[in-house]
Amino acid sequence: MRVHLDDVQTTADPSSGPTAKISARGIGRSFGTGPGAVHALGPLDLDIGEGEFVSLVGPSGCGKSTFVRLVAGLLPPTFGEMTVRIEGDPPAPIATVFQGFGIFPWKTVLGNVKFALAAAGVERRDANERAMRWLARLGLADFADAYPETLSGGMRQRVAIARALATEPQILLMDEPFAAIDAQMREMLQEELLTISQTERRTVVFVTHSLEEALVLADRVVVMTARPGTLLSETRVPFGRPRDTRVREGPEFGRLRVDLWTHLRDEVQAQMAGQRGGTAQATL
Amino acid sequence: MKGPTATDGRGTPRQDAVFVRRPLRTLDRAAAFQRRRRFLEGGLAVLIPLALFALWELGARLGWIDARMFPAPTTILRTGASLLAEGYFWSDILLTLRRVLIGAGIGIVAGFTAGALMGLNRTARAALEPMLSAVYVVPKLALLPVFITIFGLGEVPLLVIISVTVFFYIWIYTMEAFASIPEGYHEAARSLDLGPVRMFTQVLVPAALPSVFVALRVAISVSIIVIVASEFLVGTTGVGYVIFDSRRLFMNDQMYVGIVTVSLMGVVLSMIVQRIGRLVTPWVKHSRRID
Repeated sequence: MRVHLDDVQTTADPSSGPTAKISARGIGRSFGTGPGAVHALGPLDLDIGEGEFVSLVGPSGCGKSTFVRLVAGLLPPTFGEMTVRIEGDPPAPIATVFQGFGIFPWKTVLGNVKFALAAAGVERRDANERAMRWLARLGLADFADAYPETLSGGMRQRVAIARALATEPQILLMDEPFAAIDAQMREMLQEELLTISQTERRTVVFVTHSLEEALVLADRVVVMTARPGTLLSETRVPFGRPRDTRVREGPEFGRLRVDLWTHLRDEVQAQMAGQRGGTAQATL
Repeated sequence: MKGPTATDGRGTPRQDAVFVRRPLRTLDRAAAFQRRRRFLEGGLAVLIPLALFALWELGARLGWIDARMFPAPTTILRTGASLLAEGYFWSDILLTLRRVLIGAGIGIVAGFTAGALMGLNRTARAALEPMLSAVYVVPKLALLPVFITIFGLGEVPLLVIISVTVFFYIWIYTMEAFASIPEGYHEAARSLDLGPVRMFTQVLVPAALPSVFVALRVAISVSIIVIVASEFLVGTTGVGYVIFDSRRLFMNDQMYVGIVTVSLMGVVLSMIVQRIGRLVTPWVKHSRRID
């Protein structure tokens, strides 16, 4: 992971948007080679500022998750360039919350969080205290010694969030973190995420299928086209901070949601047409 | 629930039906039923073998079956007690156990190493899998003459045949387990920026371990079979030798003592493996285990 970041840092042009925490220029990614290759993402230009909360929405397979993996350094891009600016040299500058499989069933709730801290080089006693603090903050203190299998999906995802935040990353990547969670629990988690992200501002890239979720949480909503995913529209969310999930009750919210959906609908249709034509591969 | 003014078709008032909804005692009854059922099942599990033994005993004593061929269970028990008291038999048991444990130990280490390597590395898998798969299907006992040719008589060929038997079980399960670790665990681990040692010991091994323990239980049972057969074929010691030597000398009670001992060894070893498995993989739900 570090390798990719370092590669990019040395080739970056320092003049391009000095405030941008993440700056993508013509970035793209294909999977496979030859006639079977799938062009998943790009070329995409996108700047994400320090402390900004950006939501990525788009039809299935448009490369949202691929973009997150590029930022995380889990995948190298096929073309283009991305700069990720990290202040100082912290051991865990980027943390990722995945939709599933992110937490390890063979470790307890506390074990999962401490594991991330140990990997980040936090001392054992420190790690214990910090892990417990974050578990308490996400309402998991009583479940510290439980195995994830015994918890509900919503609680498991809280463990994943606690683990990501405990390392105090400068950039938090969330790849459809609430997709597999029931609607009520989802709203609770959105609320918690809002509170946390507003107490300590950090750069967040949040991938979701839900326009509503994007609008509630983000400073800016980026809509992407069907595969290969490129930038379709950007909407600055006008609700101030700190805000809570009640913003979705106002008339402005409904109007924004309709606007975004208007943009997105054609793309979703295009994606469906692509699937009918048999050109679409597995969701990327 | 009918109202108090309900009438029948002819318009004449009739007795109202009033349904009262309140908790019934069915839950208690269900629990009692469950208890009785468990008791019955537990009882049957013990009673049926006991009944069979009783029948056998009776048959041997009353001359329905030839007691020289099929000695009564109490005779077998008595012979067993005296054999254990004499002490020779202990050394046979210990020798067989030693062969199984050392052989299995070598097989486990080698099988796990090969399995992990081939499960994680495509090149290693491509290089070795066809050959190992071909040998996998060979009955290992058929290789005993080869091992004797190579290693001579004595302990070594016996250890080798157990090692080889265990190796193949552990290898194939471990390889499959490592190869099928969900990509999500790899990604989550990489996103935590784990070094290779942590990656292996804290993520890959735990992910594969439940399958490895399934293999281990199978391998232990099979290695008991293999050691008994091998001791018969080449040995001059061990429980397997005792079984077949007793038969040759027409000491059938002693032969049955050997058979019972081998069964007990298998049961105990398999239980130990299962216990260790539960201890080192506490996150695995019981229902998903094969037991």
